[in-house]
Amino acid sequence: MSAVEVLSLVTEVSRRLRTYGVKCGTSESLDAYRALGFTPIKSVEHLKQVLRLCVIKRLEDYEIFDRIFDELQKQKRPSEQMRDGQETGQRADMQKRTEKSSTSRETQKQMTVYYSPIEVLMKKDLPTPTLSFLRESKRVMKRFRRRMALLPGRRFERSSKGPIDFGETIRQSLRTQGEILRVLRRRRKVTRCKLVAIFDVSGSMDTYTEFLMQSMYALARQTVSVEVFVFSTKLMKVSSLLKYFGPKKAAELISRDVNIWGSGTRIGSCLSTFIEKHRGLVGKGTVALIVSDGWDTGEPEVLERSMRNLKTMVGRIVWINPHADKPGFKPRTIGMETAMPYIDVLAGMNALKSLRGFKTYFGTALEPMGKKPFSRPARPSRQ
Amino acid sequence: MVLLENLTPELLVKEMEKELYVADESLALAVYLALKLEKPLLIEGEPGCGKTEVAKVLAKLLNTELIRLQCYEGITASQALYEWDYPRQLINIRLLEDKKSVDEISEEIFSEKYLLKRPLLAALLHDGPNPPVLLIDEIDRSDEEFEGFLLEFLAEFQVTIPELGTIKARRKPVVIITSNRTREVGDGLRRRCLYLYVTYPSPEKERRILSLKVPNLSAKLADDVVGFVQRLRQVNELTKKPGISETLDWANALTVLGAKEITPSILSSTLTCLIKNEDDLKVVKDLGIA
Repeated sequence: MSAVEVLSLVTEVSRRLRTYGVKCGTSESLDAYRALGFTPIKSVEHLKQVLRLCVIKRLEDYEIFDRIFDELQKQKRPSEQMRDGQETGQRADMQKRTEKSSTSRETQKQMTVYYSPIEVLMKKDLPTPTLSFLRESKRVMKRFRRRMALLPGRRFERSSKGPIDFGETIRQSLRTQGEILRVLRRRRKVTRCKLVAIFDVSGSMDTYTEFLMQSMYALARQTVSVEVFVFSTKLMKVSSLLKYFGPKKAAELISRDVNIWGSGTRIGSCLSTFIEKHRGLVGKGTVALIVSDGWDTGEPEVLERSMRNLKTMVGRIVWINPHADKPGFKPRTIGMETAMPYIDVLAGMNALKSLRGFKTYFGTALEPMGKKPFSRPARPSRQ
Repeated sequence: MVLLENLTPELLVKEMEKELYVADESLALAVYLALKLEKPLLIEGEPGCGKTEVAKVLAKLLNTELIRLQCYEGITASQALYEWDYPRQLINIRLLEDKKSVDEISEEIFSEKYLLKRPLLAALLHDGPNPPVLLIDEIDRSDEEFEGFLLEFLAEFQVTIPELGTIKARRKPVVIITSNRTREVGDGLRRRCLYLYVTYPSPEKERRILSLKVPNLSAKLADDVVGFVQRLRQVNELTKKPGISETLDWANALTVLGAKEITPSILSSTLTCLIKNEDDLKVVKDLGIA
């Protein structure tokens, strides 16, 4: 591979990665380029490994990288691929030289063309959310996070104000032969409420498309620790996509991978993928927000197990069911029935829509975390 | 001993195998590039898959010191970097009180002699033909603030001590960072590192590891052990799947017991080597694997 080819490959890979929302900056590309200089490339697999090592920084992105790399490899013309195989003879040699130059021109041309593998068929026209909606949802989310946690935890941290930390003061003084040089103070560490929102985008949630996309966008725009996922039969992390591209473009990008607004739902297996791949995102201070109507085509045992696992990992599970707004709602679907024992709060869409709706659901009912045991019977319907 | 200049990934695989570590191509490549690009290597993966071992073997291979920083919740910069040896300083002040002036004493007691080097500083000050291997173990256990502090260290490889001035590394240490993914490591740190995810080994690789590490184990038994462990890893219900270290423990237990084959009675008495969790034991028994 010539230096120019390497360079164009590296830039093309990182450019495509960025369109998928993977953080891949100039320094990563530079690393990859330098790394390729250090190692003689023996095979395509070898090349892939070197690139992946330098460009990809988290496990979740491995999959995206592999796909992009394979796509690029496929796009190589057949004659180019032959070059990788064992082709000898002077004539082939001649051919190689001429074709090499033409393909590199080809790749340069391709770099300006936008690539889209699937014809995107959106059923609905997605308007960008209005400013007032964004403002309102921001307020709701703020309230939500504060309600859900954001309370001083059990642990202490050092601070300049607050009560004197005698233990630490004396411990420090031991290093100065018992001479107390500084009086240390402490305060309770505030546990931030992280939020992980998992949205169901399968066919049965079709009617709520607009609102779902908008609230996903509103969530992803939050500055602090909120992660957004979507699932139908597959799970996908979309926070960065939404943040960079806005709801409309993001919906297009998402629909490349996840079967959006169509086919069935496999809540259980999607949740277990979440647990497997994104375990690091959640902790005891995290609130998991699941938005789904509970129509599950997967096996209930899988759902039950994933819910149980999720429950041990996060602080609170909030399930938003669009039907819960309707009077006389009972969680009857199999998915809901299986998940019910693990849900802390069950609420309707209105809870996310406006402050008034939020107050109806979360007004007085929620105790701050840490003061009471986490699992409490869910409130199936609004009073 | 291996010299950095004439290292290749293939050579690395061979040399690591001499130190009883079976490295696959991607791991060898990662270590090789980390050495060449002088960048830290962040290794994530399931517990017991040989993340920490990489650093240990690498230190042996380069014939250099392994400096280990074990992270835990609440670890502070001073515990990782340096502290002044207060008691010795105080004693010295007493001894020198009548003989020297204040300036002389303060110069004396704030010299490198009274500096307690913690891992990070020790890695910077290391002297030798090959750079030291600095292992920052289980970074996910430390607080975010500590991770933030590490960013500066890993970018510049220098430390400023107010009384002494700035200390810069003579040779950039080889840094291996491991994480078990109990907490997501921040983007800043990831950006500064090369990233590698290690997972459970393939049956062939695991057999190779067994033959290296437990040479007394018969070939047939090794096959059975690997087969059983691989099957256990397929069970999704387990909260903690057995890693390589568990396999090795089990194989060792079997050799100590003098087992010729895995019978149900031996299995049930040694299963605790593989499964360390009450619920998981139940799952395995219910499924009828054991």
